[in-house]
Amino acid sequence: MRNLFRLTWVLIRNARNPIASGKRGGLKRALFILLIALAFLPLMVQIGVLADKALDALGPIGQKGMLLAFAFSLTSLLILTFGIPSVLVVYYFGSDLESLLVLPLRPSVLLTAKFFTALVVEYAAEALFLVPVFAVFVMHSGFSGPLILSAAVIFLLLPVIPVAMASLLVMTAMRFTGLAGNRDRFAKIAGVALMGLVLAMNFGLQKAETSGIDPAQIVAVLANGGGIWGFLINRLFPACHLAVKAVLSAGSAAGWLNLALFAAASAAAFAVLLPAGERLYIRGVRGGGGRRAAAAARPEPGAFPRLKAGSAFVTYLDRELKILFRDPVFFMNCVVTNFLWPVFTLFVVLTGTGSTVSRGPGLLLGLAGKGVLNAGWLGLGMVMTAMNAVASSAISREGRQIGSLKILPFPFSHQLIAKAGAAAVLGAIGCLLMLAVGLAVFGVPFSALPAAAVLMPLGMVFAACTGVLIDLFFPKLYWDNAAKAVKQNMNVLMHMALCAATAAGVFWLVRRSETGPEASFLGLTAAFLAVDAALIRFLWTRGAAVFSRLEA
Amino acid sequence: MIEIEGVSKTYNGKVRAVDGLTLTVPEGGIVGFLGPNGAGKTTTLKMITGILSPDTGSIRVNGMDIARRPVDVKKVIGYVPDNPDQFLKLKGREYLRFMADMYGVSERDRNERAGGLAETFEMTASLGETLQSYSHGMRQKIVLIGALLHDPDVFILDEPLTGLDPKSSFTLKENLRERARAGRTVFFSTHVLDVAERLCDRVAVIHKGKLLFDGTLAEMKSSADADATLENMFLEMTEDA
Ligand SMILES: Nc1ncnc2c1ncn2[C@@H]1O[C@H](COP(=O)(O)OP(=O)(O)OP(=O)(O)O)[C@@H](O)[C@H]1O
Ligand SMILES: [Mg+2]
Repeated sequence: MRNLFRLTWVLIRNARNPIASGKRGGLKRALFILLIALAFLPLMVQIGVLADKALDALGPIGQKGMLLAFAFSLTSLLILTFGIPSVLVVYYFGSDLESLLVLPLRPSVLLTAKFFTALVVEYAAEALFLVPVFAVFVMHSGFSGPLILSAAVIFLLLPVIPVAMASLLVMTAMRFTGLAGNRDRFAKIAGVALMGLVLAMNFGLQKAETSGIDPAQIVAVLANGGGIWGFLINRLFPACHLAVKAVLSAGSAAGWLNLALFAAASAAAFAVLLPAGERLYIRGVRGGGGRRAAAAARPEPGAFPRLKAGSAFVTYLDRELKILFRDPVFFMNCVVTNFLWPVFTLFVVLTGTGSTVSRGPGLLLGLAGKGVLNAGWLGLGMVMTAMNAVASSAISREGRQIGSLKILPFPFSHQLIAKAGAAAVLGAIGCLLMLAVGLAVFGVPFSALPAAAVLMPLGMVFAACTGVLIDLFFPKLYWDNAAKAVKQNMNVLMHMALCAATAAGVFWLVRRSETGPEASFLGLTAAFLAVDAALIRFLWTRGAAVFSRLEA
Repeated sequence: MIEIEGVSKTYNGKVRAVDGLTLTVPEGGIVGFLGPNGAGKTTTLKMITGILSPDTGSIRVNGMDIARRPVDVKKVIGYVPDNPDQFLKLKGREYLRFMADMYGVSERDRNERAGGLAETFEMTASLGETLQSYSHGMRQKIVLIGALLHDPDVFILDEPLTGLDPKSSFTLKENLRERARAGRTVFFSTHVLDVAERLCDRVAVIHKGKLLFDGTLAEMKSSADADATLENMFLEMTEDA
């Protein structure tokens, strides 16, 4: 038991994001957490408001439980889906695995420790949804000790069942599908499937939301169990009903009994996971190493493949892109995003109510002859390129192996430009797709294309250069799994904020000054040619100097 | 030729890894770099190759100052790091092509050299796989081949022999001897004293960042007991330093 606690503690500490080490680490971490909290605050408020409206409608008819049932089961579903990638990372992608396997630990101890690590990760996501719902519920039902206690216990226990389900799914897939032999490919497939699921869920939520503005409709939606989604969710997580009863009758004997039953159900889920996991997990891991799998399939001795000669710049850029496409974490965060946003936009438009569809094109058609459309092109280039995080993680992605680039006789200035180039190439894919969506659905006139062809690239270059610069000055080279270089990298957030703010600022300026299309086009082109040239120059000289001093 | 002059390097303002090191590695011979764990060998090699910059002192390679002409210096250096876990997402042939393009090796030269080296190191069949799927020794070998594609004038290796199988290790040693005979510079760190004794023309011994000895093996022997082995001398030297 002591072993288990120690191991879990070590794993959780390791999984923690070392945003900053050293003296001012604490301050930076606090700032980071504050930033994240601020970013999610509006969403939480929105959820709270929605819950409040629903309770207003449900309270009088004595159906407050419906909201709770919906909230609990929806949260469970979210944890199940979002748990899949984090379970995958925690169980299979940690660089600690090889060293853990040699420790004299029983498989169940290792598995349990990993399970709790995965669980802890989910609490943050859970808080996002459940804290507002609980807060609103307490406001409606009156503050009482037993209620708070029950809510807290349910908060702690709720993720157990979905995380156990996610664990079983992942382990089964890794053990039996041969995908384990190619973990990278598995992670990529799982990631894309997940995105699809999220998109589909968004579709459902949007439907719920558009119909949920009216309290009477909320009741209608909840009363028939939240539509098709509610039906699915209820079937998947029947134990949620115990939690609902526990909250509704908190304080009474029935309340405590239901709470105990819910705890028992959670424990049962874990009890099922443990023996199954012992069979699946350890074998999946042992058999799943890419190295061994490749050794099993020894390649046929063949002829030496001829090595073509090419330009150093193109080859370097090609290396950047290859790594972005091949590493599953980079692939999901840096490549798929470029396709996701256009698809997402299309999705929103196509599934939206009539008003969105008619408003969208109308809005843009109205802009067509205006100067702000030019600011829009510039901003689109910036935001799409910042969003893929390629530039703002360009240095961090290299990790401790950054030295292997420093020995190359390919000048640092060229290397940095090639890295910015990779960001621009992927950003361009996103921009072109967005443009296609704009032309097809939003009725963007073809006459706007020449301006877009000039201003979007200027925005892309701006984002690519600023991103590389930010990551160059504050690189995060010490990480043990790739997610920390991209997903948990403060530079990426900062850079997105910078680009979004710049885009918004430019938009505001053009709109405010009511500059016409020609004047704004010329003005923005001239201004951003100058800005981009200065940025490239800065990257070329100061950037290269900073690069030469990087040590890991 | 490598000329290291009064070089010091401190990590995090605390650990003084290299302390006022002055050392010349002449061309036309193999120089072994010896010292206990943590002596500062890797740090020194990383400074020569441009991965780290020295706090003080200067380093010249073939007469060129690394701080002033970094790119020219890097062009003549081939470097094999102690840890070959790099570029793992690239396939063997992609890695070789990458290195060849970085060093501007002509198409004829790269194919001739890579083809020959891949054959002698028995790597030809694995060139289509990613480095991630390679064993430790295979990774070392692909990095070795990559470092030799531009036929470097100055060859620097950090613990090159750990992890290589006997045949590859033999091939590598032959390659090093050939380079030395052709008047090139070879500088490598090692813990295997037997290898150093049989392979090196000169040895430099470093301990706690300071140079303890620099000279030929014969010179070292003359300063110690007549029939002392390198091992005895090494242990004695690093004992009381
Ligand atoms: N990245 C680093 N950060 C902080 N200290 C370091 C770092 N790398 C090395 N050191 C310290 O510098 C000193 C010299 O290390 P170095 O790696 O050069 O030794 P070495 O002679 O190569 O040892 P070994 O024989 O074990 O490879 C050691 O005390 C080590 O702790
Ligand atoms: Mg070393």
